[in-house]
Amino acid sequence: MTAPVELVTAVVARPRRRSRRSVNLIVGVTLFGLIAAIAVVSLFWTPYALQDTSGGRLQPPSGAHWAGTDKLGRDLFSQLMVGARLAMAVGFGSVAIAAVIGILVGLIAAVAGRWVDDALSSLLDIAIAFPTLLLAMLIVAWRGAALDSAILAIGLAGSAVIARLTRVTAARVLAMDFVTASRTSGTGPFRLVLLHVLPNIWPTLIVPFALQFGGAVVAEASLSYLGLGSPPPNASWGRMLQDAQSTVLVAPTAAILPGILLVLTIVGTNLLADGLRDVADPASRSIS
Amino acid sequence: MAADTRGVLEAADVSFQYRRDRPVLHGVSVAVGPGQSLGLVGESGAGKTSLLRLLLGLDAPTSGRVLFDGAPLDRGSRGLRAFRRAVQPVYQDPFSSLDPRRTVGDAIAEPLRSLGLPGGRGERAQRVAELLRDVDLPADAASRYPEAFSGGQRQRIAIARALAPRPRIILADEPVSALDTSVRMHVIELFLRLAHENGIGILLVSHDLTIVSALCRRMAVLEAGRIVEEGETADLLTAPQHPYTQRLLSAVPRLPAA
Amino acid sequence: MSALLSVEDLGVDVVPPDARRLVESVTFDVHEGERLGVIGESGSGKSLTALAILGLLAHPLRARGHARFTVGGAVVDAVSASQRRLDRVRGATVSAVFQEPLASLDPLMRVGDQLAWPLAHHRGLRGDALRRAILDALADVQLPAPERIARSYIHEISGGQRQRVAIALALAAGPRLLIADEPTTALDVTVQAGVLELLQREIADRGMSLIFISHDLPVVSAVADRVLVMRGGRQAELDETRRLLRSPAHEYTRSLVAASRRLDAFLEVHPHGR
Repeated sequence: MTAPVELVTAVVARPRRRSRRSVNLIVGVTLFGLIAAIAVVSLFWTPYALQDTSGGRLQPPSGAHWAGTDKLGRDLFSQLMVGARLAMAVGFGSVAIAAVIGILVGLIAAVAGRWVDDALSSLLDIAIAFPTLLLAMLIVAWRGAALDSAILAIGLAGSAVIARLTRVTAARVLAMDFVTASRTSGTGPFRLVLLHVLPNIWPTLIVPFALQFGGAVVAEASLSYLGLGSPPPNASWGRMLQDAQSTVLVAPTAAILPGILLVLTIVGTNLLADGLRDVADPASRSIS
Repeated sequence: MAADTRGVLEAADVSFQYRRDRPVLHGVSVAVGPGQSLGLVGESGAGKTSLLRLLLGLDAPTSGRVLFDGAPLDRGSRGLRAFRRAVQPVYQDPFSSLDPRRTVGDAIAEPLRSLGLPGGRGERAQRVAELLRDVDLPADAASRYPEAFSGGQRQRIAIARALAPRPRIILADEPVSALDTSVRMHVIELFLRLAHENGIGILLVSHDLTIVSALCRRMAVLEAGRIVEEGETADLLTAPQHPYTQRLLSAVPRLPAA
Repeated sequence: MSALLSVEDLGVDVVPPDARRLVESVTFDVHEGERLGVIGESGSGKSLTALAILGLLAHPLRARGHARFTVGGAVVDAVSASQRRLDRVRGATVSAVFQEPLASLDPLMRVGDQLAWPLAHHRGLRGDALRRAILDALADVQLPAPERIARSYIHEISGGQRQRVAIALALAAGPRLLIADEPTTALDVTVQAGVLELLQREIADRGMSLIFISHDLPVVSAVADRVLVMRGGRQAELDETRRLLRSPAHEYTRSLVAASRRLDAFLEVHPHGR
């Protein structure tokens, strides 16, 4: 017998780690974190109670009222804080709905036979083509204006995009050898999805989740601006914009501030989404 | 006297086609038992992958039967479990056959959990350590992720996973094609040693005559879904009868004589 | 006479902030009519070296050193030349065939149309002359029914046929040097034999030079006069094929040759069984 051959390529392949710092991610997290922090604080404390109309009408910012007051004498700063809370609720609520429905439908389409998959895909295409806001208005008109109607509507609208992405990504994961290996290891279909499919599609999905968060906040603000959001007292920044519209020349801050916060929230979530995409290194652990 | 079919995996006159597609396999019959080694040689489109899937019970043949232990594959869950414990695969691509999000230890232990093998977490961890030793990998590999390992090492992990339920037959699909030359010898030697030590039967599917001749006592040549020649590997290499076998043999790149 | 291609101290880096050296200090010459094999395993840097020579490295990769082409008195250094200069060199002086024809051929253009461009651009052919040249080029690489192939899309033909098309495309402008990076690795073994034979014949007929890159020692040794062994981004050894196989100098080459011999030996059957 000849001497054993030296193993020269015994070096462990080190994963290529590109620099993980992403400016987008840092700024996005900061902005989002700021709004979220305001929302959390508002649960425990706001400078004034919302119904407190003692402030004098349309006052400019001052020591007593940091953002001034609205046309009914209510403190604007407090309203902005509660508006942040609403924005968070809308964002998380609708993304949660979109995620649950979207992932479920997407997984079904990915594992089902040709017919079911084709039928679902066509339905999804139609749903995606349908304008979100219009769908939201239809649902609100049907169920009556309320916060949960808005959240449901926006969530449903967003679920189609999530479903389509899930279907494509899950199909790709299901074609991988480790899924077949899992089957031949005796793992049942439910555990297989839980252990192997979901963890591998998750990183691809968080980017659209982040984007949808921002979109949901805008959608709800638009609905409230149009008077289709929850009935008064509606804490939405959109409603604040509607209120301040008629008096914009007299009290500009009341009109500008809600808008600024909306912009910050959207920019924050979009940068967060970009940042997450930046950080998703192809050499990193997940398949997607 | 009935032939001893204990632990024998057999495809009996199987044909296979995907729904309305062309047939991929025509009346193929192969068998491998514990301690035996059979190489299935074929190029792309020959039907090797389909045959492998049939033998693993992942698809059902459109005609003919797949038998194990002398009986047709029981696709009910109890029967299938016993089958899966006894017949395990090793896949071609070391980079996609391990879930990147699970540790090596979890990957190797998965058959132990899913096939209902007795023992709690402690016993499983012990078995994983034992298996890692068998494939010449360090014990701390269990807590790491596949990305930290090279192709050859991942293939060993895949082999460890296949060995976990103490199978009687291993089906290997191009187990070294994706590996560098210097690593191939090591994996081949590992296969030979394990098969010898444990009396495991090996069914190897490959387009590479070199590895088939390294690992398999018997060989069957698959062309366009049909077996065109089979027999002892030594015989086929020295005196191939079928023109396709001859073409395959003459096409293998050889080193100039030393 | 100076070499057709002179590679001197060639390196490939990843630009900062990640600054890493992927390939270092590669030096070799290729003369007219010479066939050089480059052998290395995955991660050895052989493909990156080829891309550097072709001036095809994309950000964040960057080449260092020199890769000088000398044609008709003019010298172009692929490392420092502009893309415009390189465009003139690529196709006419140096051309390439890669491992996966599905990636290097255009899936949306018919085969004939893809061949038309270099033939028209570099040989100034038009109309009927161009059509004839396309069919000739396809027949030259031994594709049956050239008219049908010319009308086909690449997904409608087999892997071996695609690779032949890729070779025809690479040869269309009449380059002096062909770089083939794992051209047969993705092909079935019987198809591989045919494509390798084609490649060698074309090179010989046209008096071209060849750089043949592969991880497979038997294949490289059949095709190349000299072999450059790469490992870990560096040049391990450069020698005549015969001598390298008989008495490799570098430790890595020795183990590579030994492993290849052992694998090859399995095909030598002993009559009294194993």
